[in-house]
Amino acid sequence: MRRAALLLLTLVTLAGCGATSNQEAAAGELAVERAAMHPGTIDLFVHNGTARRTTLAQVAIDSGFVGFSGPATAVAAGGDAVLTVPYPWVRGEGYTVKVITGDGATLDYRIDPQ
Amino acid sequence: MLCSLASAATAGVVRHGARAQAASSMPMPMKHDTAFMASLRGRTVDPKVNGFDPHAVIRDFDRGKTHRSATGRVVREFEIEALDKDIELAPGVTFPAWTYNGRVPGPTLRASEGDLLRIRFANGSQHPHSLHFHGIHAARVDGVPGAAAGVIAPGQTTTYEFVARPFGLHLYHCHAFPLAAHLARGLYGAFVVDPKDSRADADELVMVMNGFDTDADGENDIYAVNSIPFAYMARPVRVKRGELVRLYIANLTEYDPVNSFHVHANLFEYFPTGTSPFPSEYTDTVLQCQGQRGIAELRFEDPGRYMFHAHQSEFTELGWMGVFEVS
Repeated sequence: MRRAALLLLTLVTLAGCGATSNQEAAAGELAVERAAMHPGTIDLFVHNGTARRTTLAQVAIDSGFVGFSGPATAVAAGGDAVLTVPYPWVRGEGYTVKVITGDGATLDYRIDPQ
Repeated sequence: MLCSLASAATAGVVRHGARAQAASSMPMPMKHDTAFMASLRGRTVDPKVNGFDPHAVIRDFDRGKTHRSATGRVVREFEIEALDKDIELAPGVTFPAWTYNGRVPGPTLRASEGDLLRIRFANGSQHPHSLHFHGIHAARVDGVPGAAAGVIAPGQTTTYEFVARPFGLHLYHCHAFPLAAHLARGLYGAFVVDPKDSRADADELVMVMNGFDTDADGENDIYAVNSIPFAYMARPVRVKRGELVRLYIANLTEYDPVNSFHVHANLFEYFPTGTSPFPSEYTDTVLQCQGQRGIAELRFEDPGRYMFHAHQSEFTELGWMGVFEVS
């Protein structure tokens, strides 16, 4: 629970061509704020609302590690990052996303069925 | 900016515009190596970072230092130190482990049935710890609070002395409270007691199944054998066709009630706890609760690559997966 205060579970509603509505991260939080679905890939939008640089080290979808593209360096305090995940997502199915930071904290996010 | 992004999405603005707006303040992208993808591309945690290599751990047995007592009994002495140490589990993910001798799992201690064991334990951690052995021994050396030396304070030492018995595959772990925290941080290892007449020659491998709760929420985020997820995918475990392979399999996974071992395209004879010369089962999958362990023996008939993993998909895809390369 030591890092639980850093975590935020945001709900997302998929609409249109894949952009999502979402809740913003509260001030001081590190969170996945929204997801955008594209054919064969998922973009995860992360905001670092904390006062410290953070590395986004690993991504898991539905309890399985996945490859992704993202920032080459740590995300600065107040900064944003997009993680692009190649993933064979299926219309009508929901997904759980977990981003693991360099110090092991996890950012949980739920993608509702499109 | 984030507010505007959210509003734009809600208002139906196409994603490309929103992404372009966001990208202006974002770091340049690069391809990341996840544990799984890294394994497929031949990259995993650099053993130099942690000071231990899962490929060495799998065949590493600490037989201690021996001498004969006046009565002719083998006296076998081990040195174990508890140390706090950050370890890199998956590429980029650091975990504040508690270790025995700087590694997770701790050294695989090995003795013969009937040896007199003296295990000197030094607590170099900032937290109280102990050594609790499975097997048969007196209560005074059980390594639990209230039993003789009990839990050892930081900076203190003690020596556990008992006769190794019965033959089989056993364990040792910290028994300080809260138990879950001490095991989840990495304070455990395998303890092999060989029969007096020894076992048949074999290529022997130790596989300690474990998990890591990186965010301390009471659930594991990463699974492995010998701690580093996908280490044996990135670099297969090499074995010889037709040679007897003996696997010492133990489950030290905290937080999950069970773990399992499965090998592809082959079956093995399974000896629960290794305490009988007769196998209980001929199978390709075994289930173990926490603390359960057993010996599996098999010979690969054909060359090639054979996967092994937990037969729990979540554990498998979160790191507990490897490959035997038979040649």
